[in-house]
Order: sequence, then structure tokens, then C-alpha cells
Amino acid sequence: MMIPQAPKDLDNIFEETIAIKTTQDIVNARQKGRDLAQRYAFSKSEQTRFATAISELTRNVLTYATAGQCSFTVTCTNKKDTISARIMDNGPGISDLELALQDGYSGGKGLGLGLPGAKRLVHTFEMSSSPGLTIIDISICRQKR
Amino acid sequence: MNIIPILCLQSNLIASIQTELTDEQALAFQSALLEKNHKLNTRGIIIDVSMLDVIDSYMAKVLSDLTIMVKLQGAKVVLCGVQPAVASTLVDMGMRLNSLETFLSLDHAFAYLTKEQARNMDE
Amino acid sequence: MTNYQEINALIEQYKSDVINNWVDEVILNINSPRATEEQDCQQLLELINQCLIEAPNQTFSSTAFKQLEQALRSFSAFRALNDYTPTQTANYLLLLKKVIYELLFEKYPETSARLLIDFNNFIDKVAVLSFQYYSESREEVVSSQAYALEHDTPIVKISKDILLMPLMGIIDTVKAQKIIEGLLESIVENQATMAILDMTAVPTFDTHVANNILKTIVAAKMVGTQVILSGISTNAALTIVKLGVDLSHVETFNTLENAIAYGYNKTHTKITQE
Repeated sequence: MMIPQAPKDLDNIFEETIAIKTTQDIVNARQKGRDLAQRYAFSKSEQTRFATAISELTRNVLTYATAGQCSFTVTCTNKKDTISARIMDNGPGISDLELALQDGYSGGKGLGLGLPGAKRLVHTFEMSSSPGLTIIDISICRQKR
Repeated sequence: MNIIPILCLQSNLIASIQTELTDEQALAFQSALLEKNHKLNTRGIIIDVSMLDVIDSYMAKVLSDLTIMVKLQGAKVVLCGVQPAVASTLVDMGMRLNSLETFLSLDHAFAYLTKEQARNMDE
Repeated sequence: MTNYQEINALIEQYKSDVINNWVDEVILNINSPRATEEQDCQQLLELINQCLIEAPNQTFSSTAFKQLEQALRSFSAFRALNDYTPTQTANYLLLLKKVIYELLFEKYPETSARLLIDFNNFIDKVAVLSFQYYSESREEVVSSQAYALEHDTPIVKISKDILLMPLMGIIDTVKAQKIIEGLLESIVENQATMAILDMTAVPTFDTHVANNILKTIVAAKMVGTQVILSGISTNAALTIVKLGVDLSHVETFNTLENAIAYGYNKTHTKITQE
């Protein structure tokens, strides 16, 4: 099933997209996230937090949708380095975003900590959801002196 | 199919997770431990997670569930080698692994289990 | 050959050869996986090629050039952060020039000198830009290392199983994060089953500090270590109660001496005096 394309940001470069179809893809996506964070000298804690957030969010793709992808982008400026990930899926969507971001809420199986937990692990977290397309944008950044 | 070797030493099972596991592999591991625990009538299970860079809510649940199921079988599960970054990430996420005792190393975990088991024998 | 667009077309046509030859040259002097270098070189070449389409009128103001600048930043930052030498970094663009010139000479030996000079200037500018970004990143690494040396909180091993971390000064969120990381790493490295956080020299105690300390204690427990607190002043004690922070499950001590005594007892450490 085709994923509707969100508009491409002209200023970002070094994008890599991983399709999320199997549970092995969850592992691949989080390893890629960790790799990028390591490449750009983020601390081990940051690397782990980012990888874990990716794991949670890509798992949601498999749980609630039939197709999805995770795209990574690196943006470096002289003030800071940012690594972003965009996780998209074609699932039924989340009708009440506020409720879903509360601790303890679970739409389906699992502990129900996926979303709010992941949100705490990253610097920015933005989500838009409608039936057929859910987009979650997360990023971590490292300030330079 | 479980891919993680499970050893038995002095009535305790020891398994070391050396690679990243997919959800299915994690569940297979969980089953294998339960089965072996039952078959060999072991009293404790030590899982070494020193090679796990990421423990997300799914893996935490697998381990948590395992602890509860093994307890029903009369044995105890402990972890050793949780990486510092993993521990602080779990705390950041709000997960505490309360039901699961953790130790710095296999040495510490084994010493604890054998001591406790000896004490239980005496009672 | 008389214009940039033709160079662009030529590179397009022989793209895989150009990449292969370029990467071949690059990895002669760099100890790095070919896949990594190839991926980066491919993206750079793509962007450089895009710039040639707009040249010579809009070379340096086009969208393509802005994208190239962005990419160069990431590209150079990576080199700076991963111990590539200045020579290795500078060489990338210079080697690309070499490869493209060889190609031009092979296919269009009569290329006008004017075009060659202009093209040369373009690539040189890109090379200098990349080196500038590399330098900036390097400087930043060095200054942050110096800062860390000056400001990191010390961790002392007071016995085989016990670490002592005397917290000092104002602890803001950033510092707290570093403290937690440092302590946890140290605990695992030293295999310490107990850690003492001494708060004697911490003047103020607010919600953030309290929560971060709580976080440290929970995370340490998850790693397999007990954290105990000492040196909690009257002020701090009042604040803790007022904030409603739950430290009931944590062993706390008035003085460092008491905390150490407890620690030695718990870890069965014997001290003999001559």
C-alpha cells in the first residue's frame, strides 16, 4: 500500500529511509538511529534514548498499521547538530492525541507506555494523525559551545 | 526457534543475550527458558543483558512476564549487566522493572541466588 | 566543451566511474569502510552536479548551492568528530577535481582553458568551505573537552565495592544529566555495589535537583547498585519534605562519616589499623 508523501524539506540532507514491514525492521531502524547519533558524537545516553524511542514508535507502526517507514535526516549548523526521524504509517490513526500521550493509555496491546515514554526520550516530538496517515517527527540535538 | 544458548549451573539457568532480538526471537527465548526451567527443575534463572544496547517497553514486558511465569513455577529470575545508558533510559521512560532484581555482574547474581537457595534449603 | 552544463552532462554519463575512481583515491589514505565513504561521496557529487546546472550565473546563490553547503557541514562535522586528519579531509574535494580532470582530458581534450579555470575556482571554493566547517567542528570538540576537564564532578573509590561522589555547587539540569551518566558509568566500570552521594557542598536544593537525585538512585538500582545519601543539611531536609519528594526507601545519613560506616558494614569491608 502506498504511503502518501509528506512535503520534502529542502534544507535537510543525508536522508535515509527504512521501510517498516517486519520486526527485524524495528531492530534495523533503531540501530540506524543509534549509528547516526554515534557518528555525530552524541553521548551514549542520548544514543540509547534515541534508539529506544525509534524502537517504540516503529513497533507501533507494526501494531496498528499495514505499512510504514522511518526516515532519518541529519542537519548540522555552527550552533548545533540535529538528528531527526520521521515515522509514518497508513494505520487507522489516533483520534484523541491528547489522551494517547497520557501515561497508561493503551490503544491495543502492550503496556501503553509507548507514546508518552518515547516523547520523554527526545528533544522534540510532533505528531499528526488522521485515518490512513500518521506522522510522528522526533529529533535530538547537540548544542555546540 | 530460540537462538540463545541456555546453560545450567548448580540448579540455576544462565543465558547471555549476545545480539539484538526481534520480538519473535524474544518470545522464543522466553518459552525456551520456561521449558528448560520446568524440565530441569531449576531454582533460578540469570539473564545477562550486558550486550543489549536497547531495552524497550516490549523487551521489558517480556522479561517482566517471564519473571511472573517463572515465579509460578517456583523459581526466580534475575538480570545482570544492565548498561548504564539503558538503565537511565528506562527511568526516563517511566519504567522501573520493579518485579525484577538486577545485579552488576554474573558473579554477583550467582552469589546472591546460591546464597538465597541455601538459606531456603535450611528453613 | 565550453560550458558547465556540458561538464554536468559528462559527469552524469560517467557517474559510476567517477564515484568509483574518486572513492578509490580517497580510501588509499583513509582507513575507513568503503561503504561509508561511497555513500558520502555519492551524495556530495550529486549536489555538486546540481550546482553545475545553474552555473555560471547562479552558481553560488542557487538553492542547489545552499543544499551543498548544508551537506558539507554534516560531511565535515563527521570527519572532525571521527578523527579524520586535516589532510584527509582537505583531500576529498581535491581528489574529486583530479578524477574529473582526468575524465575531461580523456573525453574532451580540447576543453577551453577559460572553462577549466572557472570550474577549478568553483571546486576550490567548495573545498575551502568544507575545510572551514571541519576546522569549526574540531575547535568545538577541543573546547568542550577542556570544559569537561575543568568542570566534571570527581568520583572517588573508597573501597573495593564503594564509590563516593561529593556533589558540589549549583546543580542545574544539564550538570545533573552529566552527573547521572558519569556515576552510572563509574559504577559499572568499578563494579561498585554501593555509591555514596554526598550533598554537603550543595547550597540549594530544588525540585530539579531532588528529582535528578531520585532518578540517579532508581537507575543505579536497576544496574545493581545501592545509592545512599549523606550530608543533607537542615535546609535541604526541609526542602525535600516541602517538595514532597519521596526518599523513604533511600538510606540517608547526616554525615559522610556515618554513611561510610554504613557502607563498609553493608559490604563487609574490614578496615585494619596498625
